[in-house]
Amino acid sequence: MKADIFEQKTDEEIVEIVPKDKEAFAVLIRRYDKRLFAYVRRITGQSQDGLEDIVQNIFIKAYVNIYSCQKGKKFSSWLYGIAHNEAIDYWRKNKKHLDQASLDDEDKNLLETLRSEIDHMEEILTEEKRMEFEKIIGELPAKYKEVLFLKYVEDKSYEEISEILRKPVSSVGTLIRRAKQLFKSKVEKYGIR
Amino acid sequence: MELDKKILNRIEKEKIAVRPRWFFAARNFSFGLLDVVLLASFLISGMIMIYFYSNFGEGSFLSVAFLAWALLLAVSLFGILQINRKISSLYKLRLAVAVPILLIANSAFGFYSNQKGLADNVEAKMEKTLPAYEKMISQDFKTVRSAKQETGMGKEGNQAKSDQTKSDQSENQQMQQPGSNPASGQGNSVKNNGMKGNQSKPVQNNSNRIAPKKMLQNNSQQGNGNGNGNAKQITKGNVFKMMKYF
Repeated sequence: MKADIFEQKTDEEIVEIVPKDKEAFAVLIRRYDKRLFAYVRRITGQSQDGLEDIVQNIFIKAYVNIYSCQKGKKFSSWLYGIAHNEAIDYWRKNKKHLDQASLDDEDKNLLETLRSEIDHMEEILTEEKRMEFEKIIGELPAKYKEVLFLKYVEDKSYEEISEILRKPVSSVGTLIRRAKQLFKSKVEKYGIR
Repeated sequence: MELDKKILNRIEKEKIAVRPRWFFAARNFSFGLLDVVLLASFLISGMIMIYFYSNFGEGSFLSVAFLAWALLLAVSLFGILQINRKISSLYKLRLAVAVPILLIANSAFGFYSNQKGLADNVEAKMEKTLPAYEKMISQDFKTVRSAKQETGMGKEGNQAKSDQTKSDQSENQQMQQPGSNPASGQGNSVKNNGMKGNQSKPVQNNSNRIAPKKMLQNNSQQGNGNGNGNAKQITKGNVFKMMKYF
């Protein structure tokens, strides 16, 4: 009953309720857990088991610092900001032991979007080609994968990405452009057009 | 178990509480205060560096005190950038834009406060209140004194003082003559006197503070003939504060 009422509210309205009612926070968790799993996975390359700990920590940090989510700012950008810091911290500590994660459904969306954005290739990918594209995305540096994910999977604006990464909007544009160039050059290098 | 339940259980179990509003207010206040302190040290260090340069020329670049101020300037600039990237919207500016803006503002403040004599007061107060700074300046003075002895200035201290007075007088006379400009006509003289950008003030109001350079110049002209070698060495060895001790 309570949960149904919360479900109808916006993120920002729920944020106001969270300090008084923990149940409201569960709604925010349900709204963002899958997206954060994909996002953190993309940055850290961590497997499913380790991912849950990181995502749990992100939500706990968000809960503890809920008053620092300023009014008038988007909750999702604020949450992604915490996720970014947490994921980068984890990646720095464990980069030697992390393997490249295989792509999930959200990543496959990224792959399709990138192909059409960069190469204007409309034909359907064969499984073999898909694997090769996946390999190329996996080879991109984490900072490029992250901006591509935020732009093409999360559909965030440049301003939102700038807020999440705490970088100037122009730098975000540069990062995205370089990421696309790198992807294109790798596609050409591997000859998978 | 679903993630939301797991997290709520963990919050319950570990008794995790939401941080109160005052915590964030206090944190922002502390960062703001630190920001103001860093900004003040950034402006003051820039102001004193400009003061050294405008009064004592390029030689001041190699003095310990100047380098200490430069270090403080760099550290405070770094601190300002780091703090503001976290607590304000400064992250929206590229470093290539933010740093020049801060440095230009700093230089403008430095030149303005030098014109108003603020830098002179601050520098003198620093020497009075901070023993370490005074020690640093004294160390610089030792270098100057040894350089002075090498050039024979020590034996002629009084003579040099009277030379300097004469020099001041003749320079004042030159400045009073219509059409004469001692600064623009004599490049070396300007450089050695360290009067760049602040020419009239030291001569008219604070003539004893530029005495050493004039002494060096007089000495080098008398002792070496060519007037370059030793004067250059002394200028490099430091130091601007020498006038206080002569």
